[in-house]
Amino acid sequence: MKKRQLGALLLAGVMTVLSLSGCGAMPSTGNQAEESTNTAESDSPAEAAEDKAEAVGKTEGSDEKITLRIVDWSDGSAQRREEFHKKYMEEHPNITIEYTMLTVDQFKNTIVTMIKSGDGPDIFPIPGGMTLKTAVEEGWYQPINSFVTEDFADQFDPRSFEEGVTHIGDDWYTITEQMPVIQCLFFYNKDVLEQAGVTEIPTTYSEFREACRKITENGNGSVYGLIDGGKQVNRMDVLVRSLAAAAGGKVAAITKVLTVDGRAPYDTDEMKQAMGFLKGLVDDGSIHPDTVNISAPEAREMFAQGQAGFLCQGMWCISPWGEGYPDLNYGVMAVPVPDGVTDTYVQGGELSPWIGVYKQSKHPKEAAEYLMALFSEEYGYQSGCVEDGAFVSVIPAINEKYMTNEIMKEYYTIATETSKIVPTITSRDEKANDFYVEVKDIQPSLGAIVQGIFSQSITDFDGQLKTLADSSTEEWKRACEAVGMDYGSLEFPNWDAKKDYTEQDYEELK
Amino acid sequence: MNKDKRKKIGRGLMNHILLAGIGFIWIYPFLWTVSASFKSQTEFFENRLGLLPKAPTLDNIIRIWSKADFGTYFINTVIVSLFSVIIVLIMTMMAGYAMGRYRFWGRNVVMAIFLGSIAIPLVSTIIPTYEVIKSMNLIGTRTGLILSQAGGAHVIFLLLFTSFFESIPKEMEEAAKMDGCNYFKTFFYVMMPICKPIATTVVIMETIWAWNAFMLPLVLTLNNPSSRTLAVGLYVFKGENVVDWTGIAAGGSIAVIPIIILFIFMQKYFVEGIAGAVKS
Amino acid sequence: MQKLQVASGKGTDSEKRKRKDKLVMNAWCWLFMALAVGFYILFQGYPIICSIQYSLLDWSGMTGYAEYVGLANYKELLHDELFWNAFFNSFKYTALIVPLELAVSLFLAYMLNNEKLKGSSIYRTMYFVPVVTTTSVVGIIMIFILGVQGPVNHLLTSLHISGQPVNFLGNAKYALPTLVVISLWKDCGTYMIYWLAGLQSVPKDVYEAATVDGANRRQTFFRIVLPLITPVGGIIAILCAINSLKVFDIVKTMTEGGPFYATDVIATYVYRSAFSSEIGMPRLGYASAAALFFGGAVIIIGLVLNGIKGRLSKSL
Repeated sequence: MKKRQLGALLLAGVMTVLSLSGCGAMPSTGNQAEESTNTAESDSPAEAAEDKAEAVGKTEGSDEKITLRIVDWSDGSAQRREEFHKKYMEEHPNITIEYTMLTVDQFKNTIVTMIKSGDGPDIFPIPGGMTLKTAVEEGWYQPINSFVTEDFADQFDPRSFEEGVTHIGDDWYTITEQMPVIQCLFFYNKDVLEQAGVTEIPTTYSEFREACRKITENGNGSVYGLIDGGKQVNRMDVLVRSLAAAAGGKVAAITKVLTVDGRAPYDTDEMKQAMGFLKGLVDDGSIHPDTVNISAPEAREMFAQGQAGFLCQGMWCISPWGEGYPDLNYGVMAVPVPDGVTDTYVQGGELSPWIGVYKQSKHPKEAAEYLMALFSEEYGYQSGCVEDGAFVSVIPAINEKYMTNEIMKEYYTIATETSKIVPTITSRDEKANDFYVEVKDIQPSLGAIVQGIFSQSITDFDGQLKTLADSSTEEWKRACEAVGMDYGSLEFPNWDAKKDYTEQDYEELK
Repeated sequence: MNKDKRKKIGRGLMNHILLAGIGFIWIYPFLWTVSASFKSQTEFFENRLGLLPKAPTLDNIIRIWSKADFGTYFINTVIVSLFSVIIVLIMTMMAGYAMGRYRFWGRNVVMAIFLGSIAIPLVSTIIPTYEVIKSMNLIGTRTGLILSQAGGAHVIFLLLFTSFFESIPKEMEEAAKMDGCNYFKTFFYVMMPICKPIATTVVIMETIWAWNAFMLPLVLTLNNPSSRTLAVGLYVFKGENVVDWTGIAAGGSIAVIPIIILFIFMQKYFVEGIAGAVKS
Repeated sequence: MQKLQVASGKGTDSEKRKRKDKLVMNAWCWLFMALAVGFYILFQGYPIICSIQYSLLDWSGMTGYAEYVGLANYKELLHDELFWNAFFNSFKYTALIVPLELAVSLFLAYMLNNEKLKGSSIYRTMYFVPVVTTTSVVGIIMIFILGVQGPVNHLLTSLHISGQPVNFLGNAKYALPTLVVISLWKDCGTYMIYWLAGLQSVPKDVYEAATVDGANRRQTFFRIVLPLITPVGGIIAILCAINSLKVFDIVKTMTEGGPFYATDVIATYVYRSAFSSEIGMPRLGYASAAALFFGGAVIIIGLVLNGIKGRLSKSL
């Protein structure tokens, strides 16, 4: 008996040792234990890789067969993208493009591992939550300055370049896909509204509620006031932040952080008003009952099928509707405001980094050429997307020429008129990049609370909001301390929500 | 007698009605998926429950066909599934035999470790698996894919084999020993032939896993599309804001057909069983 | 130690032979185990060890920098209400589905194990098909079927079982049971196959003997078949329980853990922590700790149940 136990122990020991030694022996960067003690170390191999990449780039002939691997989630224009790739490969017979479309979660789950192991794709985007500075420090990207032609940068809208988003100093790392436009205007189905006898487009909470009530009543169980992708907590988050801002509240855009009076502004009166408005719609029975179960794309389809009067989404809806529902008679309107409130604005769209060239790419020159083609007029990708209404291009010349879609123009006009630029902490303080690495999510988030209201799981949202605001404030303070940033940097005392926050305002705070 | 017979037929008919009724509900979503691959995106949502497309279209099939290098992917999938099934079958059968029929040193510890580790929901096997395959220099190869698929979840099958071999009457083994069979021979001539039902189960389930695996094959073949599998080639239809449902439906239907055919062919082994073997 | 008796005498000849036999047997057994153990270490053991390592780090999984924080992640878990919510949801889900799944799949398997039943192979295929039906399409069709305007609600209201349409997946009260039903449909085929395989260890003559005795199929089942397949049944039950505790795909597609965490199970919780984040970075380290903590809890519960079972069978 004893012997058997001994044998068993021995075996267990061997297995553990084997596994452990395996773990330690792996040289790849995926294994964090060694690096955890020394951050500086991660810089040197990355630099070496850069040198190598440059050397390779220079010696390479252009006739060689080259495969460019591109991964992103640019799905709103997937079809145009495919056409572009076809055309590009026709004109560059030596280049093969391997394009993979993923969701952000899938990207984080898979590609990040490869990037860190030195096997990343040639071109890929920065996943949300990571700032360009962090990505560059991690050795993800290389500057494209030396690979693109002089005049390439000139055609871009200057607003599409931003320190810490596309550039770091003089180095140009990423190109944004599109001009930032707010993602949460309300679409309405004209036919549905008409049938229900709603003649005026609602602008206030009470008008909106009334319109929804009429539509729901008239719909008799098959048409409802509002539908949305309630399964996607992030969409709900955007919705309620916009509503709160339109109510006059100071709230950062989604995924961003800032304080008001030293506190996370999640239990302000305006936020409560916004939540109350949504709860009112639920109480009226005006929310499409499937809302909680569906994601945004499904909601978009069901709206187009005439199942609801209103939908809160972004510009990307226009293109699929144009294709799938050419007869859809719809319009777009601003975010409703509480009764009697005027002169309020929602958070303007923020520039976000999109794709860049992998630091260890073997073909940075070709990758940059690909990017140039992607943003050129002659390849028709930008112009096609603008024509479809998929997005507003970062190249003004193309917008002028191809922005013909009426609804898109309307959307763009309303978006510009009803939004103002909100301050960001990364523009103010370098350390904010570290802050975003350090800070942790607090849940239930605003979006989750909205979901709770929609599914009638929460009756008292005040308590939830207070907890969220308290815990967020605490967590932000902790994160600030951890990265050595002044907590006061999250506060912008000279911010007037009725005006764009400008460079000058940042200067003033210094 | 006549009455009895009629009663019997009646009961048989009832059985069939019951089984077919449940069966229809059971396969309805699949039929719907197949039909959806011939619908337009608009009809997908409009004709919510209908099984017959109003305006049948081949667009979806053509679209996914053009996206994926179909022939290559299909061959890759067959190769990867086949070899991972063979590996898994051999290793779980052998280990299951050892664990089911013998109390060897360390058996209980190994059993405990195996059982314990299937209880842990792993966050991401992708990082470590990628490291292992990379350290073998097999990234982007079919061999790497095969190994990673075979390594996946074989513990479950091992347990099935173990319990099966445990339940086999001792007499069979003793008879074999009398005939002068050693350990290996007993396994090969006596045990292997009678574990067909479990082997069938393992073949079917492992094929499904290997056939449909998405994340790992994606990571392992991103650098080398020529060794990609169908699932990777066909399932990239879901983006962040736009979803190509009919594409998913078409891809899903095409990818699944070979598995269903395999199932139909394999299932005769379910009813064959060990009954005869025990007698002889 | 059933097959090989441990002798306790002194070193006689037969003793020596036995010892040699035992050595040979062990060598063979380990040879047979080698492949499985090797694969296990590489593709299961190593990831688990890595997971343990990650769980001690404050690490997003995205950057190269990770800070060793000891057991801080585990400590934080203890105070995380949403973790406990997911923890208990997982057990609730398992408690609901395991008996149902086992009973329904065994029923189907037993019905379809009948050679005399015409078309049994067609039925078997029919019941197996959901297993291979694409999950993401299932997600949508289930919303069509179970939605307020779907046929199920139509049936319920027209039969006056329910006055109002029931929002099956959108209501926190019904969401989890609804998920259980959907999973039952989706996975039943898998367990049916396991049972079919298990039923093969029942020799044919047993059925014949029972028929001669005049027992009908139901009696045969409860008196003869059930006791015979109990050992395999135990393993199938364990597999079913463990798979249910780790359920992910169907929950992710149907509800993403919602509405308001009502169907949030461990796997969705872990996935969210590890890969989705709203502000800042995801937390792979924390997620690993959650997964391991849960796994540990399952193992402990398993051991306790096993102990109770042992006690009970001893006292009987």
